[in-house]
Amino acid sequence: MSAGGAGAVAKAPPGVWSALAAGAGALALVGRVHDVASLPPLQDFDGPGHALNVVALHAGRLPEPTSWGGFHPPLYYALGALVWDVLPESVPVHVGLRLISLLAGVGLALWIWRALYRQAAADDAALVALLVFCTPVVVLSTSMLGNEALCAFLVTGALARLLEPPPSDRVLRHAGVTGLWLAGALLTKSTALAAVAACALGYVAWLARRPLAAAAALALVVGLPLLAAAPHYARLLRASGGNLLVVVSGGALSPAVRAEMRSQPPGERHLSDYLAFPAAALLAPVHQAPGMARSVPGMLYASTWADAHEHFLPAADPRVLAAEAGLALGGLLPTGLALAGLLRVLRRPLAYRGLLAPLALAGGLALALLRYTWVLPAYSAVKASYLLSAALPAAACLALGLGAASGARRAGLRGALLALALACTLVTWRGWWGL
Amino acid sequence: MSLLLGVACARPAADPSQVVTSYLRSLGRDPLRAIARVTPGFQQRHGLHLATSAQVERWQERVREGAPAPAAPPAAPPTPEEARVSWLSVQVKPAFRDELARLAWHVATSRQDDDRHAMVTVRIEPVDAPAFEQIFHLVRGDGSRPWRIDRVEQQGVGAANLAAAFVANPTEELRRRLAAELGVAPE
Repeated sequence: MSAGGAGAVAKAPPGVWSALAAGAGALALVGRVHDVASLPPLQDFDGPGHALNVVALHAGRLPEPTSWGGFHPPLYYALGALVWDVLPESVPVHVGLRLISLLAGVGLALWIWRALYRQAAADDAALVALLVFCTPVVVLSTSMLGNEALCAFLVTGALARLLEPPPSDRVLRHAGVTGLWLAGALLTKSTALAAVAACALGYVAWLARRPLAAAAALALVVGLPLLAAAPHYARLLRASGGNLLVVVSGGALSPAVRAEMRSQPPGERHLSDYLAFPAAALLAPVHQAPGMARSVPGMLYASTWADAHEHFLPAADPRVLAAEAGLALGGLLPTGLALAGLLRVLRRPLAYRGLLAPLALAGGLALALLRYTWVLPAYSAVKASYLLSAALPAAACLALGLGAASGARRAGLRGALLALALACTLVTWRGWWGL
Repeated sequence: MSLLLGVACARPAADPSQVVTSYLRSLGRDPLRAIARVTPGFQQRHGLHLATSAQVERWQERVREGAPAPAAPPAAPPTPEEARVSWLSVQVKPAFRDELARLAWHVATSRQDDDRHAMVTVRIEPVDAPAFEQIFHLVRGDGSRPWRIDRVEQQGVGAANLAAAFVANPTEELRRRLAAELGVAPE
């Protein structure tokens, strides 16, 4: 990752690591297609809620705002309704909906690769993009129907444009295109509200010395998404009696969802829930393991590197649980590298101005998630996939951490990341377990 | 958005027996296509309810202890959303799908009363239980709209083919009969 966001740097062309990453990526894609088809119908996160939105749009009406997933913006579901009619009847509708997520996941990985390729060593960019694509939280999100993967793809498309300064003679065009990406994201999931704010901050940072250009860019980056999404959010505001915060908190208007959430452990939150990190997060990374349902960092970590909510893999099988523990332990390496990369940024923030918007988004999403888990003390409210739109800042920090090493140490780290990506692919490949 | 919706809604109308065939093929395998084949009235009539995870765990605990599961009547009829979600959710239970896979069926008769009402009779033959008939009543708003299943009747259902009858037409009434038969409440 180049300091200062000054654009492409002189570097070696893609080498053997890039070729290996491409091969591993192709293998992961094959496994993902199998997962998309083999996962039983509606075993997806909030599957019936998302699916009924598509059913409503397919019937030519908007979902009820008070239904399970009715508060979500309509873009993913409208695409789903379209795919429903395009695919033959032999392809189940839920599989078609998952294919949208898969395509979004491929796009997300390619965005990350392209963004890092311009800023970091080519081989590092390829390996980091591969690992993002293979991380279990991404595997699950891109194998399931739902709007998270599409939102992450669109948000990343916007954020990637801010890693470098906008061209001085084309600021408006640059901001307009960014605004369109954000409009798509905000029409997909309310998470993108944080991305709009983060991108606005990014333009202000890049154009601090050109106040007029900054104001015009802000008008486009904020105005386009808000204009596009205004009808949806105005409808939600009417349904919620004017409380937008309740609406974007997720399913708050649905009695069925409220009843289910109220019945889940832990049932109440303490400050210690945000500090505890049980050993089970590494050794038995599922919500039923001791201390896990209560630990927010534990569930976040476990749902990044394993199927912590047991929606996807049969954790009752001790071989599966052991394999998932292996991934959770292996996840310590990229997590450590990303933290080291983050430290580099924090030590010289001005040198990494391009990361301001992505990191601001990551921080905003993390704060929003902390609040969400406080007001909704249920284990299912703690999911790393809620942070999926922060994939780019996480990947950039990982690339920075990796780039700090050199020589044999760097080669060893690259090999370890490649091995971890392959292990993630094998463990999350449902066919491996006969599913 | 209007374009997307327009394309999505421009579907050719299938005849009643094709709708029933598509519905039966979709049950359990493609539940979203199945739910698109039925009317809102159908969803109000099946009466299935949702159980929270905590209720399911309590039932499973009682069953493990050998006690019969509680069969208290629900306090209120399901909301439209609850009805749709529970109807979808019951289809994806592995036991439901296993039982469904053991059914053979064929359309016995198909009759169109007028431009808006039709009736299709299907003979359902479980692998190891007596056959029974399922009569689908279909409606459509006008000639340009697709037929949809509004009501289902079953004939020839008894204790021996109750499980097959439930998976062919999941309703709260059949669920309760099945629960009483098995001594548990299948969640």
